[in-house]
Amino acid sequence: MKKYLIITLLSLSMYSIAMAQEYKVNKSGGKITLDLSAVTIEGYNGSEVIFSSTKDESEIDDRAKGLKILNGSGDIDNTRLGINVVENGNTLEVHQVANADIAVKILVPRNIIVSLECHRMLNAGKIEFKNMTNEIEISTDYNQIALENVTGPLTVRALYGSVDAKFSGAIKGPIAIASIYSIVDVSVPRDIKANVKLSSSHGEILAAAELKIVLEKNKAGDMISYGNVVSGKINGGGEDFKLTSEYGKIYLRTK
Amino acid sequence: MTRQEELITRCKRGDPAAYTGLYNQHAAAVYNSILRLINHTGEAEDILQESFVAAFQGIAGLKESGGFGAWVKRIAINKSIDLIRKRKLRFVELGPGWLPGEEPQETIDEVAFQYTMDAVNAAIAALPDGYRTIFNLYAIEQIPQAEIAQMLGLENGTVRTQYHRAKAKIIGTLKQGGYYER
Amino acid sequence: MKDDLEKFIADNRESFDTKTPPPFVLDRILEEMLPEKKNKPAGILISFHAIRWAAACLVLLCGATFLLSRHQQTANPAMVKTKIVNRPADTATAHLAAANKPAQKSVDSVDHDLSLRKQALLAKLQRRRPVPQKQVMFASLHDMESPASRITATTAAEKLPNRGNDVVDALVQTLNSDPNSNVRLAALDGLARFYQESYVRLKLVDALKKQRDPVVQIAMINLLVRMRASGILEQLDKMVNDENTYKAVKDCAYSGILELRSS
Repeated sequence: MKKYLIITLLSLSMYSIAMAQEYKVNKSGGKITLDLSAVTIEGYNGSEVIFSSTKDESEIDDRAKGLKILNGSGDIDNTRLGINVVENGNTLEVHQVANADIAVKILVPRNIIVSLECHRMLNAGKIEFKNMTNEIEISTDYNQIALENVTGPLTVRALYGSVDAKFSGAIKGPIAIASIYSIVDVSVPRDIKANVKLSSSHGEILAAAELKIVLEKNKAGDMISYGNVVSGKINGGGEDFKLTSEYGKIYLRTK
Repeated sequence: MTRQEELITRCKRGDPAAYTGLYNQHAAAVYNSILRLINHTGEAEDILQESFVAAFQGIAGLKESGGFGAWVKRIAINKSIDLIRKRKLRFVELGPGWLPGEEPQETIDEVAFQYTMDAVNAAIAALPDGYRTIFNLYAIEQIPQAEIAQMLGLENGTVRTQYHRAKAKIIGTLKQGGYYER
Repeated sequence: MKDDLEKFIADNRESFDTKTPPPFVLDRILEEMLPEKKNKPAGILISFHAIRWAAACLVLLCGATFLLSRHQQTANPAMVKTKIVNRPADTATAHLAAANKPAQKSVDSVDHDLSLRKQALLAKLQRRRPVPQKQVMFASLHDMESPASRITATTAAEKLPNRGNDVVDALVQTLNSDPNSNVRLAALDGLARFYQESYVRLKLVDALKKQRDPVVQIAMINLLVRMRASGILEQLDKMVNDENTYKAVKDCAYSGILELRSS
């Protein structure tokens, strides 16, 4: 009996140690800039930006206890999560200090603009944004990007990683996704009102049949036609929706 | 009326869209010129603001509308030099022992080799302040040496020698840095 | 031989200008220039309605800032201290930030805040007079926090009349120096409608040299080739032979050369 008590207490305390790895910053407007190679970000109705670790107890490195992560850039891990968080005027700046071992989740209040930039090749991980009505800005080279239950406004610039985006709710434009090699796979509500411009020089543009796109004829007559450009309106037009890929395919789906 | 002339005319009437238009055209070039001399973004921003305000306020006297860009840039350079002089950057001639093991030469041993932007920028940035200022004003801003002498309160000969030394130092840095290629 | 360094600098003069001034400098310049103009033909008649609205806004602003400063003072134990770095801000808000201590603000500083806000508001009201849409568009083009509003501004610019090329120049500046690639692409789209004007064609050819992001380089090359701007042939050649160019860009440049040479 005693054994079970001890084990329960131990695991509860381990759980609380892991859960206690949180760093909070009061913020309810302005911008947050992230220099991270992998992250999960979720919107919520609060007034604090909450950083937490997504590692479970088995991943915590006991040998690292009492030691600090060093980084050649001089940034200090001031959160014990492997990231450096600093306020710079109206902007909250987050820099990655850990080299590869980064597992962070961030909860972000509603009216903050979230901007992520990662041009690292090594250890480029998955970038996940969920359940957000915030404006999102992403610029990456190798990361995989997954956006779920977002509304925009959104600007994405990607080189190699795939870009998956599921929009739902009241869409707010402009939505602009530009990439070179990435596939761009976007899902929108069937009743969306949008002015779409889909272009792929060397890939295909595929769209769901239920989305009736009223095509606009390409106007400029004496320009050379180049690649494939699909320009038109869905449900009478509305928000600006621009998906561009040089080599990747473009998929436009609906629920 | 060309577009530049139209903008100037509207500026003279106080049209804010014209101020914006002229600013957009010339701000970047002027800002960079200031930064090269001052190398402090906060102060450079202030000088940028003051220079444009001065130019806009005096625009009634501008006859050659094509000259606006050069004019506002010159105002900015003058203000930058004033600031440098206030900080008492010394433009005193350094002794001949500066370039180790070399006597002051009139001709620089220049071999034609491949310059790259990064290398040249780094070499200029590595110069001591006084030499860098003179090099900037002559080689980049294209101000005649006699005028530079007046602006800085130096003798013509001093400016000439210091420019020469700055250039020799730059070439030396470029050669050492392994940017020497055919 | 003797003047090679000077020649290199003169040839690449433009590449020495890589930095961009922050957008608030323009705002400050406009604020300085505008209150001084007293000879506007329409007269600066601020209607009673506008004054009441301005007063209401001032009251709201003061109330909001008082509430905000009270809120910031209550220390939250769960919060860790974060470093606050000084950043050039609006003069009015800078004053407020400086005065953000638990002690009471002096009456003088509050009056000063109020008069600064009033000045800013009046300046904004005056500025609205000439071409309201354009002012809003130019201002949004410099909203550095939100790339989405900058994109909206460029699409709005497409519909505005281009007097004295001010709209084109603003788009070109955005194309050359906006930090967000999608905004630059939107500016490129905006300029594309002027593809027949020689001033725009010149600016676009020139802009190609300044781009460093392959995503934008490719879009520009495609557009310029579609416009049959054979002025870029030399530039394309350079890109194909420069080992620092991304392969995708090189391929695009190469097919651009073929396309332009054959047409």
